[in-house]
Parts: sequence; C-alpha cells; structure tokens
Amino acid sequence: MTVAAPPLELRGVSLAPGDAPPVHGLSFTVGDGEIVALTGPSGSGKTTALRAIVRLGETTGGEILLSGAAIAGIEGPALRRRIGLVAQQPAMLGPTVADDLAAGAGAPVAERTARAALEEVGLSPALLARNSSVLSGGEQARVALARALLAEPDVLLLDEPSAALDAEATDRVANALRRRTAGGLAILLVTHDPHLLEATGARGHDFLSGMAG
Amino acid sequence: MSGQAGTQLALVVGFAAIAITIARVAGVGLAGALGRAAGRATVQLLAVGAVLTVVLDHEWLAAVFVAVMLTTATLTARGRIGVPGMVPEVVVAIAIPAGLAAAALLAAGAVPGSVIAAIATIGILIGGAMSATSLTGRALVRELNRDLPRIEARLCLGQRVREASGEAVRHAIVSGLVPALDQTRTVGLIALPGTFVGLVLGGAHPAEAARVQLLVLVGLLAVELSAAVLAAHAIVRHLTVSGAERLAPLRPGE
Repeated sequence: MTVAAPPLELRGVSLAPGDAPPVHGLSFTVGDGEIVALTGPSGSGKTTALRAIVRLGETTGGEILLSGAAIAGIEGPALRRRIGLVAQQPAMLGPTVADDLAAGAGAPVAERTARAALEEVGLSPALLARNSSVLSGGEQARVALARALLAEPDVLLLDEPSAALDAEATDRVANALRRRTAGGLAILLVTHDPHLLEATGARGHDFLSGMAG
Repeated sequence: MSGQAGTQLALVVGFAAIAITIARVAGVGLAGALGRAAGRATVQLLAVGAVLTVVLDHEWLAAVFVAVMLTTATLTARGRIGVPGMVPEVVVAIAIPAGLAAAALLAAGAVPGSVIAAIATIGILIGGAMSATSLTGRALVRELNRDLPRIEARLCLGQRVREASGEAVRHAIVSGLVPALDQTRTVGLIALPGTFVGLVLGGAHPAEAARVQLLVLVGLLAVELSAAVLAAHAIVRHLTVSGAERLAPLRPGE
C-alpha cells in the first residue's frame, strides 16, 4: 500500500534571508487538513521561507515538495494557483472589495459567492462595494484571506494573519481556517500570537530548531 | 570665418557668460554645470558640422553617421533606465520604430531626398525614440519598485508577471509620452519647432514647412509610443525570472 505524499514538505531547505543569518536544514511537513504554525524570533527568516515555498524567493539548498513533486519543476503561476500566500500586510487590488475577490477567483464572482466569502472570514457583505484601499488593516487582512480562499488552493500560507485583528476577529478567522481544513486544505502559518495558535489548534514548529513541536 | 559666424560665436560666449554669472549671483550652484554644458555643446556641434561636411562629400558615410547616432542614443537610454544589460532590447526599441518611420517618410517623398535631410529626419526620430525609451524605462523601474506588493499579490493569485505588472507598464508608458504629447499640443504656440525653422531658414515656403513639420510631429508620436511600448515590455521580460515567473530583485536606486 502506498502512502500519499503530504501536500507540503520541506527537506533540508537552506535560505539566505537578506540581513538575517542563513537558515540551514529546515525540514517539516504539512499534512492533509493540517494546520502547522512556524514560530520563532522576528527576522529569523520565516517570511523568507513562505516566499520560497511559492517561488517568490530562492532557496540555497534542499528541496520543497508539493504533493511529492519538487516545486522547482512547477512553473510559478501553476504553483501559486495550488499554494496561496497571504502577506502580513496584504496589498489590495481593488478598486472595490468585489474586484479583489474576483481577482482571487480569476473571474467575476457571483454576488452570493462573494457575500459568503466575506461572511466566512467574519466581514459584513455590505463591504462588497467599498473601496478596498480605505478599509482598516484588519478588514484588509480578512479580504486578502477571503480572496486567497476563493482561489481554492491545496495549501495556504499565512504570514501573521492575526497581526491586525482583535481577539473576536481572530476567533472568526481561526474558525474559518479550521472549517477549511475539514475539506483537506493544508495550512502553514507564521505567527507570534498564542491566541491564534490555540484557536486554530495548530501544530507548532520551532523555525530555528528544525524539529516538530 | 565669415563676419556673421564670428558674431554668432561671440554671442554664444556672451550668453554662456550671462548664464554663468546669473547662476553665481543667484547662488544656485549651477555655474560649473552650465559652463561645461555650453562647452560640450560647442565642441559637439562644431564636430557634427565638420563630420557632416565630410558626409556630404562621401555619401556612403551617412550610414556610419546614423549608426553612431543610434549607438549614442542606445547607451544614453540604457544608462538612464539603470537596469544592467538591456543593450539589445534598447537598440530594438529605438531602431525599429525610428527606422520604419524614417523609411516611410523618405519613401513617400515627404521630406527632401537629400542625404542631409535624411540624416536630420532620422536624427529627430532616433532622438524621440531615445527620449521615450529613457523616460518610460525610468518610470517603469520606479513603478515596479513602488507597486511591488500589489504585483506580488497578483502573482500569488496565479497571474504571470506580464499580467501582474500591467498597471505599472501602462503608467510608465503614459509618463514616457508626456513630453511628446505636450510638444504636439503646443506646437507653434510656445516655440517654433526645429524642422519648421530649419526648412524656412533653408528657403522653404512656411506652408510647406508646416506640412513637413506636422508629418514629423505626428510621426514622432507614433515612433515614441512604439518605442515606449517595446521598451516597457522588454524591461518586464528582462526582469522576469523564468520558471519562477517573478520579478528579479530591483536595487533600491532602480
């Protein structure tokens, strides 16, 4: 009997994250329907690792596998349709929130779908017609999450998703993420927020130790 | 040297001295730059005059002269854009639109068929293409730096670099075309354009000079837009990391 490869696996990955010391031997997996949280000091290269996973940055060694296939052999756009990344300070694509959601889906989105996407992340559907660039940081973070979820990736990478959220909004986002994992979505998040870790039930992984927590 | 030429040179020196004096008195720190610019222009124009005299006697040298103009324009534009490499792309962006427009103008007999007129026409078109390429390229590099988070957000949704940078490209092309548009809109109202003046000074009827000038101006618009579009897309292609389909890191100054 063959065992299916995990959606995301890093094997001995090395990174050169700009000003920070190089990272060597980064190894972990994110299984089907699993949430893994990368923890570690600021500036240690966690964001660099997320960017390398979607080929927006380079690794200097090791291998990153998507469902068993090396990402080095997958062209950027195809890879990024399967692995979504939401940055810590996500850029709005606008002009309206509805346009942002359409960018995520790759096509105009039915109003019912768009309203559901906003509600899923705890936002009011009344925001659909609003200019996305004038939303608060927390609202923008959740629009970006809704946008990424509409693309229906196999793996979702989130960089400090609760940085601009209060506790209640963090709970709404955590619930949304847990519901998505029930459908098989694998999630890798970078966070310093113990509340988010607890609310998502994420498996912690100490970025610098290279060992699963 | 004729009396008129002597007077002209004396006036050149006089105007340069006035500009340098005003710069010193106003304390704007431009005196040295003005002096060097005036000196350089004098040397260049004297050299061009001498070279063109030789070209008129040996017409085959016209091709060499145009090649020198194209090389200078390419190196100037590439330097202004500030992205390493790019020489072949900049040559194409300048030479193809300028060459096609010059060929059309000359083939249609719209400008006099003399070597000197051909060189002047090609020079104007190469200069316009160089300006559009430089301005568009600089604007594009600035836009790509400024807009990188939005471009990367689009890349993260599976777009290709060409799609994701489309807005930056459009803004840059508009920036690059502003001087040409302004020149065309204000032609004759603020200053008489060079082709018109040259033809009138050469003895052409003002109506004929105006027709030729109009042709050159509108031709320049087409040339500059084509050069800007070619340059912008070439820069995006040059900066795209193939396979990963992302933008190569831009230096802060780029």
